[in-house]
Amino acid sequence: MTENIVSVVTRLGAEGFPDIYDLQYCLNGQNDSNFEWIVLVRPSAHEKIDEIRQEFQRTSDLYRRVRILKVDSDSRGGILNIALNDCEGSMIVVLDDDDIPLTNFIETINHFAKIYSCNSILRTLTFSQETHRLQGMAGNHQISYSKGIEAWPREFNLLSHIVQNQTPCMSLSFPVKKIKEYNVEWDSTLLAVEDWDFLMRAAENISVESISKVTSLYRRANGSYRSQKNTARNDWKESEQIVREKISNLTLKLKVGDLIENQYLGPNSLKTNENNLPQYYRSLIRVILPIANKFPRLYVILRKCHNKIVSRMKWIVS
Amino acid sequence: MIIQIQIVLYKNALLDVRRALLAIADSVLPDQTTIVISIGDNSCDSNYHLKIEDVIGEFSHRLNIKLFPSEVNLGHGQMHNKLYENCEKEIDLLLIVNPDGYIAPHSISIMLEKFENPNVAAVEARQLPFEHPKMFNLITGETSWCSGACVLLRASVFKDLNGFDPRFFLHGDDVDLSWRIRNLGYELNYQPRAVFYHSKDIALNGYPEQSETEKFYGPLGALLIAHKFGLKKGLRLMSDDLMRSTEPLHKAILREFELLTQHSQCIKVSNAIPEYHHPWKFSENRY
Repeated sequence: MTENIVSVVTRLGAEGFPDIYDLQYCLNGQNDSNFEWIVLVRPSAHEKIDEIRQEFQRTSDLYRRVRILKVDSDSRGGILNIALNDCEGSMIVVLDDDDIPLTNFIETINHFAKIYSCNSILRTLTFSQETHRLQGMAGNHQISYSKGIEAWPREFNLLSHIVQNQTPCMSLSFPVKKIKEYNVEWDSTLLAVEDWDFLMRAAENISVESISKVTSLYRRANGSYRSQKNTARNDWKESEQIVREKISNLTLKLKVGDLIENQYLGPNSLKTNENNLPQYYRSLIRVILPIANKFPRLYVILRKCHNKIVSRMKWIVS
Repeated sequence: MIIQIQIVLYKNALLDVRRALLAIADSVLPDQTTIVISIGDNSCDSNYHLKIEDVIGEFSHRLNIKLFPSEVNLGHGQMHNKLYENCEKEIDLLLIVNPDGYIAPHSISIMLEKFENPNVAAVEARQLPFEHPKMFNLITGETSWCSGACVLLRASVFKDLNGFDPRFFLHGDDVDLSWRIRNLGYELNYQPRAVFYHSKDIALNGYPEQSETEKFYGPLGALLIAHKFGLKKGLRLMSDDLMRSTEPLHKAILREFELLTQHSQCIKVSNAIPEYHHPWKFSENRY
């Protein structure tokens, strides 16, 4: 295993087009090329594997560091274990096919991995960005409708994570050697939130270091994150419940200050303003925005109003 | 069809220059398209110049590249004008790209499609990882100005307008050129399917980090545009902002602005062209 090489892992399904190519261009644009990219092609995208290979070859420098693996399973966590066992890096990070790593993404992980001797989980900052998927002339690409929004806490607090995940997966890079030493694997039975489960089990034995640098954007197309949109609400809730039960069996070592800084008193006290938005509003906005698309100025006005409401979204305790 | 690709350097990282050239070499182009590359070196540093020659040498078998050094730093627009004047062939289109980024493999072909419309004079690619927020028509792609980070221009129009205004050293020359193009009756277009990767990191305020040169030349460019296009209210608001500031940099911007505009007058353009909805912004933005 080579020291300080990052293994970036991406699960690619049929729904990942054309966003996967934005991710390709962002990885090709990194100012530190010390990484490999493992692309796990799920069954729904198997028929596109030739196209993927051909397009990746067109960024020839990146292509030398890409491995395309055809996987037969659709388990979200299970296929990540294939990459974990196969990766050559000392740090592993999962990027979804619609994520946007910034120019400093790999450089920051490599820099801090060296500082912490590849013994810690690194948590950099991911900002959320409102986008809209445009059909027609935009070729189904995502167009941004907000600046980067700070939607998750800057500092990692283990106690807060007991209640709910507060770290998107592209914020986290895991030390491969340590992960294997403690036999942590992704849970192949979970239908959602497998990243939260993995983080908590890894954090049982490995410290998490917060780094206040923005390294990626998590795009919210048409008002929702892809992973939430593609998972049935019940499956999501059920998975969260399973993870909470698993967490209750962990022995977690808190850092000094975790208890004081923790704002949350229990699952029932945790809410977001966004979740508090009435259901009728959320349904209405999903219907109106695509229609307003045809009237650019109206669309901008509606978008700005919606962004103002969403930008007030903060974690609150009731 | 001949496309001249122009890149202006000022001590840019060699890795960036290599990546930008590799991307051009990897580009998928329509048949009958010839690419010539013209690079202007504003570094005034012979050591740097030699290193750039080495990088260019790596592509000698794949690309036709000419390198032009300058004895003084001409800035962005003036160097582009010089590169255009030095072109050896009758070129059809001019692709202006920043060296701190690279063009995605299909982008040139996608941007070319828009030139089937004879009224389109400039096409801009979508930037990654942080897209520019300016508004565009969601159906036609028409936009009020094109960013100079990556723009494909009709060479004849560039020539008719005498290229960039050299008073803009770094920022704002793209807005100025765009508005003068529209003043001739042409359209500008934004093409989201074409991608230009423009190296950016994001600050904790959620916007791209600004370089030191951007902090000086960005506001200076905005003042020059307001002056040049007779936007009196915008100019007053921006000048007031800078005068109220206690930062020495802002005083220096105002001094430079006074110097540059001592003997210049406003140009006459159609009232509909300058879109000034907010001081410091040149167009309506999406957020």
